[in-house]
Amino acid sequence: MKHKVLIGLCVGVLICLSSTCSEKNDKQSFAESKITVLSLGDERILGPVWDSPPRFLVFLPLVEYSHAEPNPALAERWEHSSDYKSWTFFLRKDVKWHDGVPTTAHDIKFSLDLMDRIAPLKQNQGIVSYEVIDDFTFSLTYEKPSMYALDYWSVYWPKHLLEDLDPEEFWKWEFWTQPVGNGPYRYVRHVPKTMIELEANQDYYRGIPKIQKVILKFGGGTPLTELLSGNVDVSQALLSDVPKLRDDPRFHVYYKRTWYVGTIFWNHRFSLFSESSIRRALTLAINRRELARLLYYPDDISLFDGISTISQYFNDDLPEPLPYDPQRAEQILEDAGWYDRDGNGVREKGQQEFRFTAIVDKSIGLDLDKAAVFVQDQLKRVGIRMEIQESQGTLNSRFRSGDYEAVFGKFQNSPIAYGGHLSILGDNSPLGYENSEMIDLLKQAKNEPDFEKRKTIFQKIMPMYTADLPMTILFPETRVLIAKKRVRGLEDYSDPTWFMEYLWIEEKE
Amino acid sequence: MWRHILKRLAQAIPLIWGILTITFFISHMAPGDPMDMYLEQQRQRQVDPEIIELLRQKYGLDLPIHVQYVKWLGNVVKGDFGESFRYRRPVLDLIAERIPYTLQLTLLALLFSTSLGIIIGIVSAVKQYSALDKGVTLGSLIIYSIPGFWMALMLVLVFSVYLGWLPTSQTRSMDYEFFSWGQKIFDRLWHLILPVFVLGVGSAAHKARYVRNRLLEVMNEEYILSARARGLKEKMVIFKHALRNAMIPLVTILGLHLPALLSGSVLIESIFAWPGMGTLAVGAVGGRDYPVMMATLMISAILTIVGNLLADITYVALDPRVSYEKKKPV
Repeated sequence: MKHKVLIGLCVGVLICLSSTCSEKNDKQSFAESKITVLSLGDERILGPVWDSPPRFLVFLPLVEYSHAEPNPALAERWEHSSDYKSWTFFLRKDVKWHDGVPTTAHDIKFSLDLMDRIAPLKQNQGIVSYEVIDDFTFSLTYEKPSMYALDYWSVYWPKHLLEDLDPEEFWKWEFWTQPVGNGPYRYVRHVPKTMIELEANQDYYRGIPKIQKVILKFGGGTPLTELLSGNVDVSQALLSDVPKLRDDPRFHVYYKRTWYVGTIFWNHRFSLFSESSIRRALTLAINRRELARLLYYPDDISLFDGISTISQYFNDDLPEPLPYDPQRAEQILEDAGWYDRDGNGVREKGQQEFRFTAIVDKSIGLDLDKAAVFVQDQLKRVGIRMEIQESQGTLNSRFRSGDYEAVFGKFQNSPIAYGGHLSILGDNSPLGYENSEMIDLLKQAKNEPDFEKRKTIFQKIMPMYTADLPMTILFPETRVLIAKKRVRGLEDYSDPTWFMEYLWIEEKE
Repeated sequence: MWRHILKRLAQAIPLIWGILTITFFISHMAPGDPMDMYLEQQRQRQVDPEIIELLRQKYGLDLPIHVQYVKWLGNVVKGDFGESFRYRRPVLDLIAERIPYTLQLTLLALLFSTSLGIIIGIVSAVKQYSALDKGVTLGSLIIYSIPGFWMALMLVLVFSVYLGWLPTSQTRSMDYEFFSWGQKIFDRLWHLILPVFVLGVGSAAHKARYVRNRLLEVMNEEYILSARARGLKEKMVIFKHALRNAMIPLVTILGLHLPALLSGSVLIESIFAWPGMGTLAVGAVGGRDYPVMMATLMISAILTIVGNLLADITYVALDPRVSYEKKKPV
């Protein structure tokens, strides 16, 4: 009798499990225009807590930068004063919130007011004032000429749904888990800590997106297992995952260059790095092509020595990098008086040995720890000893105060602000870099809203940079996107959630 | 007994205070600034230094460390663990959301490892020096030596990627809300199989060795010989007489295994995207989210102390010779 009960229970378990599995399989089989994307975060990913690209599925920014140039999004067009201090935005009249209410300039003002009130969202844009001119027009005035108005990152929220909520409870609002947006997809449901389901917005002003349903699946041990098990169609992956999937006929690997550049920052206040010739020798001693290969970067990755506008950067309109030439590096070091006289493998000059410590920030995700080990070996070959000190997301204050010898970090080629260049090389440079002419040009570039004029300024900066070599640029950050081959359109876009409306799914793989 | 429990609980208070105080100072004096992590999070924005200063003031990070400590301790005593720097929500809300997931995982792993350990230990002891015993001994040694994270990845590869029998991660299916209650239960169990197995199997191997050795010792005791001489069935001898006594020391190691399971779950939760305390703690340490760090640590310390206390209480329940009451002089 006991055995029968046990067998009965086991059969019951199996039936239930199989029904669970078969339901899952049935759901997967209808997925003609459904895409599942492996995502960070949780059910609050569409709100301001995570402040990440998936929110562009649901909310619209004023402009978007799909090809390093601003394109209209929520703003149909814009005008600016001749001094670029006053901007007027004309909103599209056919954009509606997902509940059918039109998106107006009042929503923009409401959102800006809210952002101003919630400290972490407040931005340093130098806005003097903003006002609603009519339902679909609003203006912004800046204290200085500014391109910040062409903000691709902020999104705006529906005043009619949020104005009565308590701003003190901003981060707890249920709205962030069930948002009503105005973007290409609308929220349908979520399973806590598991997924969010979105469906194509039938009233979207650009037309109904081709992919009907988007699932954001959270977490996942590794992207590799999620992709291989068929749980997701698209995921970011590690560069080191590429060899395991490159030859798999189900997938396509996309390399996406980001705005960040992996760099060795030399502290010019430190006696070893004060001379540009020494920085040049250090750069010549590092085989950057080999380093990129070891880190699984694509073979055709562009390496360079220079700083640029974002369009120059993305169009590879950059100066050639210094070549790998360890003999030349050794010659420069000897010309500067650095010899290994005692035969211990380390060059010295007077009583000083060529030794320094480089701090590596492991938390910024560029495999800089591995790069540091490679560079350590390369420099050892020319008689330089580099000690590596690891840091976990704790470097910023130390870097800014100049309390270091060398740092493996990154800087940003932001499309609108150019704050990255100026914050590294400008006044109070954390490198201790001082070149007033370059600083003036960088300031001009930062405040120059005209793209062509800005390019001209950077063309003047380039030779100056090459002569000074204030830092050694290792490689442009490149992310890997792995997608099933039936997902199309990813060639031109860096992030599938940011540009989902431009993607489609081929019926046959 | 009650007096003993109250005494132990009273002793736990300074212990927890000590742990938290040391951790508070170590974590706050370690290099790094939560605002660095905030700036990294907000890397698409141009964050005003004034905003950073405002945030520092809001979270009390501008105060001297001893003042921060006194303020923090005062709030903790009042049950206020503060607000997470990262999630911008009260820490207690985050913990209340996540602790059930961790308890589900660790308690089931404890149950699984104990049951499996006892069964294997008994079989191994009863069949001492047989091929089965040797196989189990070797198997236990191998399993005990395999790092949990590696085993987790291999099992995911085999059972999720190649065979497709089990989910790769998470706590439930994406269509969970459309399931019947029966399917919901099985869906949750289905998602628990791999993490519970990985978390519990190493400890099961350890317990199996413990039970085997202890049982073999007990089986040589005179009262067992006497039971056999009285003609009792072997099953009765083992389960009623030998096992009960062999189990007593096991209870003590159960209490000690609870903290090990909690720390092991940190890794397992990360691999299986299990939204428990482990993933919360890892994120908090990486992001210097001090309020969350301190709260997760406090919960771990409390659970460890409670685990030990429960072991003591169960020990008394299982062994009538043990008593915490003062004996009256004869």
